[in-house]
Amino acid sequence: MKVIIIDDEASFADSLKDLVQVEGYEAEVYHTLKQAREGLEGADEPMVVLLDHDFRDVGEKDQVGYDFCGWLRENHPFGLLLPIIYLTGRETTEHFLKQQRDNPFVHPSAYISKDQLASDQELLPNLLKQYQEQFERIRELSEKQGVQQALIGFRDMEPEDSNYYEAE
Amino acid sequence: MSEFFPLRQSGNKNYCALCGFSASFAVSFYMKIRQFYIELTFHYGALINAYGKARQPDKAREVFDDMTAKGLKPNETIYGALVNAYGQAGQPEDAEKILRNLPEGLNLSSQTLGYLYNLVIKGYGRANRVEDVNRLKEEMLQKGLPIDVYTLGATGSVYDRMGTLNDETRSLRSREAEQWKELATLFGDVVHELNQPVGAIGLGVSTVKRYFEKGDRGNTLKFLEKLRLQVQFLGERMQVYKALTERSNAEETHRVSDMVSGVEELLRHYAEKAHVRIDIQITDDNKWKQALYLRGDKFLFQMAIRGLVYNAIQACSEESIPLERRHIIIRGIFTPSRPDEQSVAPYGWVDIYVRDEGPGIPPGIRERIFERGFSTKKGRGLGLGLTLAQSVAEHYGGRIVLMPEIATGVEFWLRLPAAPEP
Repeated sequence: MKVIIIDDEASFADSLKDLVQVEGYEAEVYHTLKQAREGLEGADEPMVVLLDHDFRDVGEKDQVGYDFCGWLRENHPFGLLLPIIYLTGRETTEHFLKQQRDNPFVHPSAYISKDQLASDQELLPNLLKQYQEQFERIRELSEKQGVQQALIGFRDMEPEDSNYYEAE
Repeated sequence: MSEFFPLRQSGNKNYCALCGFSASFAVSFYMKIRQFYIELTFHYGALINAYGKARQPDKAREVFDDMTAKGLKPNETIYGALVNAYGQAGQPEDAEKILRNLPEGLNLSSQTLGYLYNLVIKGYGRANRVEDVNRLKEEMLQKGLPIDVYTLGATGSVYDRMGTLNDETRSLRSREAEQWKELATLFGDVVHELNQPVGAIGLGVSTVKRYFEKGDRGNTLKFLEKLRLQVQFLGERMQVYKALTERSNAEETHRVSDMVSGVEELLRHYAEKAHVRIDIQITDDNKWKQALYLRGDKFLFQMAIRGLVYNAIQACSEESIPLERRHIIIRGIFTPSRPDEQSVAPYGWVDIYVRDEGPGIPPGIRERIFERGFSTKKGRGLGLGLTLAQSVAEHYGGRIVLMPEIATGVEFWLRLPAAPEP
């Protein structure tokens, strides 16, 4: 499992990469969304994405965090199951739930603030471990069921199918 | 023949003395004619200028027409005198017509063209035509012509005379400086900025701990050193904030350029992140020989300026604003005070203009921007920046004005009483 870090705060992204690596995962850092799009075009391996929520890239109109999240979910075979974590301290639970209901494709798997990551030393290792186990389960399911949907069936799923996602 | 016009030898060339004489005569004649034309042009210019001062633009025009009828070519000074004649006589439209119909062959430098624009602006200023003053000032900015103290002086004067009160311009109600609690809320953004290096340090500590637990001495030391550098960086940032929050004696005098630079340093991180350029133009070297100083609490002054610059950065950071428009200009100029302002500003005024090329403020919102708690930043702004700037300005007997009729973006004018150089 690879960990993708997308943040224009170079020092923070760099420190995050160090921590991810010492936990034994491969890490890739992108400082602009444009670079991230180029680097992740065609990616199909299991990965966790840590995305700065306040990211604003210059040059492309749709290059804000939400759009990037949507693009990634639409293009990666894991679709809605791809763990994307927004790094922010600004969001509320209410907004989190609303977004989950309204537009699951741009809805992240979690919101974590940078100070939470910095002060809780076990948070990131535990999260990464949890996602790794989740990928393992998906692999086992696909082997058992032999059904494409178990692994990658989310690509063609419409946002209205959120009931399915919630049931999960 | 040669005895009368002996051949002279000069190097390898021989030439006739008569030819030399004729040539020197021709040059001398040409120089005299040229001098005559220069003097004639000068005299015409003086006459046009005199009629201008006597507020007789039609007479000035007659002289100008006479001059051109005689085949003399008016230069930029003559055009300037004619423009000024109409401007002084309260006919700025005619002055503008001359500006619009300048002959192509003049090849004016941007400085000279700016000078002519300033004369027309001055004319509109005399006629209290605020919109036209701003229209031309905008045009100058669009054409890249130099906006100097004379342009700003002309625009400042017209606002002064108009009392800055019309539908588009908000002169602000007097109000006590906001309470310290509210000032402190602005530091939410400071906390957000410090969050980055503090976050990096927190992650760094976890990394060092993991390597230590693994018994990896090499990486433990390597990442400890990295951590030390991050702490050092944080310390440097803290110094910037410390300098900002040092309360100063109310009687202390502070150089405006230093305070503006301090604010720029404080906000550099935000500006760089949003790819916004900040230009600072403080005209300490002005015709009144008055370097810009303010007396009072440095913290309050910097908070007022910060509020304006921070808003400008936010405006330029809008997604729709292309890179070339992510630009802020902070101008500081000295303006002498009028006789009736001597009690408030005995040493004149410091005028600080903060200009951005962002999306601007929609007409419906312009009236509300100074309200406490009003913000256009969709939950991110506290809505206190402008209110605080307003409070600080009025606390010191100054004011803050949202400049009307700006074609692109927004310009705020902060006026504070100047202090003498210590």
